[in-house]
Amino acid sequence: MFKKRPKFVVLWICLIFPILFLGMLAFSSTWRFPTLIPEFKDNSNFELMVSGDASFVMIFLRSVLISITVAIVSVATGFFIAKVIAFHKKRNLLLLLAYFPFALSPVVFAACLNYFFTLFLLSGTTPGVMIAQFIIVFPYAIILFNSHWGSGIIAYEQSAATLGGNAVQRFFRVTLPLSKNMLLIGFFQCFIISWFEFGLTNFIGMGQVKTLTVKVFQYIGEANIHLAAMSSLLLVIPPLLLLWANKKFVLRNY
Amino acid sequence: MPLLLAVIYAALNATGLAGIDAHGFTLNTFITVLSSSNFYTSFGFSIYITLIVIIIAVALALWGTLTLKKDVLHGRISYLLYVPLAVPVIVAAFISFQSLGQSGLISRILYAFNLISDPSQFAGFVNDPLSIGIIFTQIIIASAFFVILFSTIYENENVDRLHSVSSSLGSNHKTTLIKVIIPVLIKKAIPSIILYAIFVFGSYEIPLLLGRQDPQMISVAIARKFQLYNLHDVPVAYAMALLYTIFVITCLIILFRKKKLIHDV
Repeated sequence: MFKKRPKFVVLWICLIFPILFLGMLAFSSTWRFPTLIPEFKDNSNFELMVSGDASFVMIFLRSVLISITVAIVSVATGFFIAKVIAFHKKRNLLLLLAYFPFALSPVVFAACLNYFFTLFLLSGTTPGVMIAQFIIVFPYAIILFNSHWGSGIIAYEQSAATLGGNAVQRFFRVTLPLSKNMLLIGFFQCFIISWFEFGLTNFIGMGQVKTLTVKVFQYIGEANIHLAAMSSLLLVIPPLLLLWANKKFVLRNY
Repeated sequence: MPLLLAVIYAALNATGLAGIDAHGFTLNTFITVLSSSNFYTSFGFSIYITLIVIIIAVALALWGTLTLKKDVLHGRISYLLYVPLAVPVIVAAFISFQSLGQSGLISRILYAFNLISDPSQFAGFVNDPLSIGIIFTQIIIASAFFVILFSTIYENENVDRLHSVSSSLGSNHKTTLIKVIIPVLIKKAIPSIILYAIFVFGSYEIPLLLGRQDPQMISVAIARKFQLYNLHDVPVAYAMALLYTIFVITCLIILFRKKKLIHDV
């Protein structure tokens, strides 16, 4: 492919550049001008990674916990609420309302909502950040699943009901198998929205709920480009794996 | 519901009916915001960035889609095109920060080729007056998204077949491209393009890291007002947030009324 089409080589290099560049910065300790390749002098960054307040393991696990919780709750609630909306008389109006929180800048939305989070002592807490993220991820799940419910799935449910299936049987034997791929896509996308979130997380978390995006920003502020690159690399890897899995295993069956 | 709460609280705060600085109903905050040049500068600057990003990204994506065609969806390159989408905007901003700055990667490459002898000779695109750093970073992310979007439309709408029909009716390749293929792709993609434009308009992380203190994009300007220690700035921040929210909601309602936002299921 590459011999015939050199444009692919250029495209390959451009597209994998972010990963290479972050890896180069993350696994080095100094990068003085004018050297092109950063130098590795000591392993102080690695020590910081696994120890003390800057422990990347804890930050990574906290970020994963927040994103998985937000994604699971958003998908679970969004899936059923989307069904109600898909067959509602005011479907279009309700969908329009779902677009509002999703289209607004999360940081502006967070700034306006912050009073209520402070009132309920949720500012600067992990549950507060989860609730704040849910407020923007949940409408996205509704928008995503709305078209799924309109794709004829209800006809299969009705057929199962005609054949005597009760609500539980219909859900586990008809709806769930037919919706498995869509639920996975929804989970991946909700996870990624939560995983990428910075403005809202930083505002509601008041910088105390240290997720990977918040740490990237803090390290940039401290001019520690190597730890910022390490945090960035950890931020990029899970979405890459999810997008690859999404494309390889889920979209293939669609 | 949370949005309604946020809007009501912002309105109460901006009109002096709630908050620490509340001294009874007043519209002075709105008058202050609407008569200050900062608000219009931020608004205009956000529109400038949005228009340039969307126009260039759509053009690049159209070119990429028509050049790569089915490789985008089925070839090896299809996996790589997802890489920019897997990079969070704050990481994209960090990469640009380290690449486009005066002592960044590009400056070092130029130095290695003896094109500059000092980092100050490289203009740098971080905090630059034309905001090229912001625009460049946004374009990279947007182009990847639009290439995938256009390629999906290209396949679903069977554009190759439209091309054959147009050719058999005597149209040359250029005419087919301008009068058939590009209009079909744009028409189908317009709701997503407009939604993406709304996201770019309200973007925060990239202008926060790569932008100047003045002018600031609207989200950065609002967030900074909230974070200032001067309590008198808080109602102003709420008023700005309210005006921004009204603008975004109005755009969505216009899209909705033109039946561009929600498709039939």
